[in-house]
Amino acid sequence: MPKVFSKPPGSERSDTARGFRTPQGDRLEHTPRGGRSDRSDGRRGRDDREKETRDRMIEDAFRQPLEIIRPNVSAFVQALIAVLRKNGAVQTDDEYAQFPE
Amino acid sequence: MTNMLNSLNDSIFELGSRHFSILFRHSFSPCDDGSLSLNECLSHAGTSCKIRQMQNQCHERRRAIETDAVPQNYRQYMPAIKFLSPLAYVCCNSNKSRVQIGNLTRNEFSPGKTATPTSWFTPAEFTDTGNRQSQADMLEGLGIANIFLRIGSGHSNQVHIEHTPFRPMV
Repeated sequence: MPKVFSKPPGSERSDTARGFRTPQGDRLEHTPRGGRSDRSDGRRGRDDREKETRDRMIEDAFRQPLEIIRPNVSAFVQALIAVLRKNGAVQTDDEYAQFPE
Repeated sequence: MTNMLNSLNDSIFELGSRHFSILFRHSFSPCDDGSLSLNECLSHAGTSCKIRQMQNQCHERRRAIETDAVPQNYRQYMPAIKFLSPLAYVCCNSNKSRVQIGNLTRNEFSPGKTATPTSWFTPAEFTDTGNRQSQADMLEGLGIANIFLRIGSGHSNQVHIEHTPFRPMV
């Protein structure tokens, strides 16, 4: 049996390096899905370039003056206070029955 | 068992909650300290849309904020309070150990500043009424100028969303 198989067509970009074996002949497909840090089986890591970045709108929102943000912040603080005080979650099946799905 | 009770017995809330986990964990949107201010969240199109979806589709009870519970001088903000109440539920009742709330007081505020490191707290568990009242009192008395959220995700720590035991059989 050859130590290294050729890759099947279309597998160049696949997460798992199919067909590869170590020089000892062990299959690599049992590598944990979370991967090992050295990625000896050639799998690709999560590509940071695909992650969303801080865009101009978020950066501008971060630098807004107090007068602009105050209404929403006040409203959210009041909503937090109300939720913390009223504990309005469903606690009994009778309470749950009051709400249609 | 009682400490597993939470108000996230609602698929809409779970989706909203998951959105925040993804936003905070799998994007570069948050600041260096891993936080986003409320204003930043509302400026993020997907987040704003998700809050609106939760507001429109969640159970009536989760939208309801009694006007009497809101101090007179804040009643002018009632529409905004009702709009943001689902987000408040996600923060306070999701039973996630991973939600943290930080703030800047009026004295500390300046544009482009993140929350004071010592101000961060995790909302008390749903059944811990005493602590929740204390946290509500604290929020009321601080004079908050800006508020920040930091939400981890199950990818970074082992968290399981537990439903209330009264979830109806499907």
